[in-house]
Parts: sequence; C-alpha cells; structure tokens
Amino acid sequence: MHQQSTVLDPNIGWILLAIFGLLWVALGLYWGRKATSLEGFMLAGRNVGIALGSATAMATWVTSNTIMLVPQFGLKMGIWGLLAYSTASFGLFLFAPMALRIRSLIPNGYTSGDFIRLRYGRTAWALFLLISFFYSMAWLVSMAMAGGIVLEALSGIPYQYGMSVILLVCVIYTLVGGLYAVIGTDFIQSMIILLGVVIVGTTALMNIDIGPAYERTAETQPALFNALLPVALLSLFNNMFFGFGEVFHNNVWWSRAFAIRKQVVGKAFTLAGFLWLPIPVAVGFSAIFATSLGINITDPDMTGPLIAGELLGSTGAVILFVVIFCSLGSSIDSLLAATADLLTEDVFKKMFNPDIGDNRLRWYSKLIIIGLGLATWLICLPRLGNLMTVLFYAGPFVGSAIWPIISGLYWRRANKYGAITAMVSGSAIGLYAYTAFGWYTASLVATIVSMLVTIAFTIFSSTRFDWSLLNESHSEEVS
Amino acid sequence: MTSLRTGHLLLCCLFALAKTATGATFNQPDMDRYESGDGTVQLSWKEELDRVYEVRRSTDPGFADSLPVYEGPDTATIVTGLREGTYYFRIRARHRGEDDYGDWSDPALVVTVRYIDRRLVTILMSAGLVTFLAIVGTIYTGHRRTDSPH
Repeated sequence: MHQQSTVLDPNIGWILLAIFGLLWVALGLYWGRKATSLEGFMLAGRNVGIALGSATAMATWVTSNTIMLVPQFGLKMGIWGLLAYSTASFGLFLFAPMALRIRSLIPNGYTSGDFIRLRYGRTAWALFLLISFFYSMAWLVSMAMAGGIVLEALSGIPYQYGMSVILLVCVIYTLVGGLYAVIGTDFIQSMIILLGVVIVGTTALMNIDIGPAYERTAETQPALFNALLPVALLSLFNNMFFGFGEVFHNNVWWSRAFAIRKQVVGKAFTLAGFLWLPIPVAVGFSAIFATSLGINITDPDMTGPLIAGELLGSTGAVILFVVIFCSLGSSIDSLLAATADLLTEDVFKKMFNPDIGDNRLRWYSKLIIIGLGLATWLICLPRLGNLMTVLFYAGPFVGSAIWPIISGLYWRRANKYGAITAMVSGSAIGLYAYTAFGWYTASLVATIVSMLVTIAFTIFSSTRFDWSLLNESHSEEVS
Repeated sequence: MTSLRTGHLLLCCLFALAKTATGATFNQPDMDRYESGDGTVQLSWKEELDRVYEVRRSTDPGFADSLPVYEGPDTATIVTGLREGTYYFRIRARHRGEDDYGDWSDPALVVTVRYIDRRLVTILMSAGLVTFLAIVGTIYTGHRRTDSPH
C-alpha cells in the first residue's frame, strides 16, 4: 500500500462491519420467512409495489463501482467524466417501457435467458448465457474487490479480510431470504445511501473554496476543463452504452421486471432513474479539485476514500464506509440472486433436468449462490488489476447484447442469425477497440457494430416472429 | 505501448535503486518510452525508511518553471488533466526531520501525452450519436405501437 496512514482505527472498521453485517443477516432471516415457494424465493411473489420496486432498482444501480469509480472519472476527466457516469441512469429510463413489454410478452417468465431461448433458439441462448455469466462475474468481482479496497483505505483492515467478510455477509442473507430479503434490505439500503450521499456531497461542497480551487486546477490540470477532451467525450457514449447493455441484458433487471407489479413496473424504473441521476455528480465533483486541495491520490481505486477522509475527517469516513457497505450489499445480493436464478432456471433446469421439482430446484439455487460466492472470493483474493480494468473489460460483451434484446422485443423480423452475429462480432470488435484505442471505446464500438449487424440481418430477414411463442405456459397449454 | 493503450501509466518496477543515502528514483526501468493517451500519469517510487519525497514536473527538460507534484511520505501519486505534450518528472528524498534533500533523480522521467486521433473521435462520436438515437427511437416507437394505452 503506497498510502502511509488511514483515517479510521481498524477496530472502528471491524465494529461497523459487525453491526451492519449482523443487521443484514437478521433482516434476511426476517424477510426470508415469506419465501415459502420457489416463485417467492426467486421473484418475491411477483407482487412488489412502486416504493420497494423503485428503491431496489435505485439501490442496486448504486453499486460500489458508483461510489468508487465516479471519483476516478472526476479525477481523470473532470466534469465530463461525472456527466459520462450519470448517463448510466438513461438505462433505467429506457428499461421502463421495456419492462412493460417484457411483462406483456412473458407474463410467467423467470429470467432474461427465458426470453433469448424462446425468441432466438438454443445457440443464441447459450451464447447469451456465456456473455451474461462473464459480465455478472466481472461485476461481482469488481464489487467484492471494492469492498476490500475501501475497508483497507479507510480503516487499515487488510484487503483480504474486508473483502471476505463483506462477501460472506451478502451470501448468507441472500441464501436465507431470496429476493424478498434482497428487495427488503435494498429499501433500507437505498434510504441510507441517499442520506449518506447528500451528507457527503454537501459537506464536501462546504469544505471546498471553489474559486481558488478552480483557478489552481485550471492552471495545473487544464485538460480537466477542456470541453473537447477526447477521452471524456468518448466516455460519454461508452459509459452510456455500457449502462444500456448492463440493464437491458442482465437478469438482475429482468428479475425485477418480473417481480414488480405490472401496473407500476414502468413508473418504478423511471423513478429509480431520477433518484440515481444526480448521485455521480454529488459523489464525484470533489475529486476534480483533489490535487489542488493537496490530496495525494496514490492509487486510482483509492480516490473516493482518500478524498472523503481528507475533506470530511473521521466522521466523513464513517459515513462513506456505511454508504459503500450499503451499496455493496444492495448490489452483491441482487447479483448473487439473479445470477443464481439464471444458472438454476436456464442451465440446470432447462438444459439438463426439465422435470425437476420446485423444492429441489430451490435447494440447487442455494448451492449455486454459495458456489458463486466462493468463486468470486477465489478470484478476488490475489487482487488482480484495478476496478476500472476489471469492470470495463466486460463492456464489449454487454454492449453487443443491446440490439439483440431490443430488436427481439419490438421487431418481428429480427432473427437468430442476426442476434448471434451481432453478439459475436460486437464482442470481438469491441475487445479489439479496448486493446487498440482504450477502455473508453470498447462498449461504444461493440454497440455500433451490433446495431449495424442487427439492422442488416433484419432488413433481409424473412422471419415474422409469433409473439405468443414467448408466453411459454400459454404455448404449453395450447400444444 | 500497453500503457498508452490502457490510457495511463503504471510505473511499477520492484528493482529501483537508491543512488545515494537520500536519493530516490521512479519505479520505472526505461526513462524514454512512456506515453499517456488520456493525460493521466501514475508514478511510484521505492519506499525507504523515514523518508519524505518531493516530486516536480516541467515541460522544460532543464526544469525551468517547474510545478510541484507531491511532497510527503507516500510512495506513489497520480497526475491527471495533462494536455498533449512532453512532460519531465523528477524526484528527490530527505530523511524525515532533516531539512536537506538529496540529489534530484537524473535523468528525468519523460512522459509524452498524446490523445487518441481526433478524426477517430469525431467518427466514433457521430456513430455513437446515431446509435443512441436509434436505440431510443426503437424503444419509443415500439412502446407506442405495442404497450402504450394510446
């Protein structure tokens, strides 16, 4: 560790970790009593209202990456970096009408994989599952890493210990409570996150003398105020498309689309988008002035914790600690539950064992949650790479899935050949862009390629898809 | 080239040697080849017991009009917001509790900041805008046609 001191005593860090860890597990046990059926465990009975629905969407989207990466965007790209990160909320806005469409077309669906399998067939389905699993692991790993990094930066708790405890807590309460516990804890966590962000943002603003800070930053880091800074401009679209890809394809969001009542599902996602929109600016604006305020950033991943500690002292460090712990919990639990659903329903049941009973399936779902937690822990242990490289490496894959999803939802002519070619070519060329030009082009290039391929295949398609085939239970009844 | 492609420098070599008792050098094996594509430079140096370090930068190889980058006990720092051009970095160290610094590292670390080609930026931005509008248009028209009560 290049940094020589921490803001909090390690004992305070351990105490906070114990308090919130026990709280989440207790709430998981409390809400878990409702999850008596498989549908209750996986989709919270498909009866979630607007308050819980918008809170769970917002809290899940405020990941540790939001708290940890946004300051990096501000530090490296200035105000454009913060705006670029804010565009991730557009994914929630656009998913609102998509969620309505999903509920209309697949009223009894469980996962995003269900849609791809029924719409495009098994080859596209297998490819989609690979993409989704790879992205989910990248997201899980980046969040668990962020947990370990922030605990080490703020309190000196060794990275491996902090990361392990956070992961263990999330696995336990997801295991006992299913989606009921995930959504319930998300509601409390979203309130804490919003309150914490307001306090951190306001206090930071009061502690920065903006005029002199701006003048000094403009003198020593002029590119941060350059409206045409190439990396920042490209990040604007790159980040937006990364966010679209994440939300449109991932089962975290589809499971919420299935879990929230149809009458309010659109409003819930729109409200979540509005709640999320200002968070990156509130969290990250102080990072623009970090250097001019004499805050030495030793590691990009430490940007947020170091600034909070310097500007807000030990109180600010405690608040940031709690906010990050909540954002980690609300995202890791959602991802564990949704990825376990995807593997249970799509891989275990649909691919290998279609006749398996609900109770046995629920038992396997729990085993998969434990397995995912264990795999994440093993990958995180050596702390390879930094958060930005880990997360954005998944960008081309999710960017390439945007067009197969939206064309599959709205265009009868969209077909499996277009979907498969779009995902393969978008991922491959996006990865090339990542290595040739930089991370800030990868999702952008992947989405552009995926769009061109999808449109080309659709124009020349003779397919006229029958939407009723997506309603699996209806199809089975008819046959 | 890897550093250029990933957009910033990671100067991490474990074999940096102190030149003098209070000397310091950047953890970087070659002083001439590093480029940054995004205006960010990540520097680190070897930690020695009870040292305070000073890092300065300049656009002039002779360090006329140099600017302070960092002064303190940490062993790394990040410089961001650099415009295109060539920058020189040097470091020196002193014992904690003493006033006199050792010699500046020599030669200076040379970093060239070169952004991604502007023509490529224009092409990607234009294509990005079209793609964004197409995504919004597809969802909006699809929603109007299928789910909207109107």
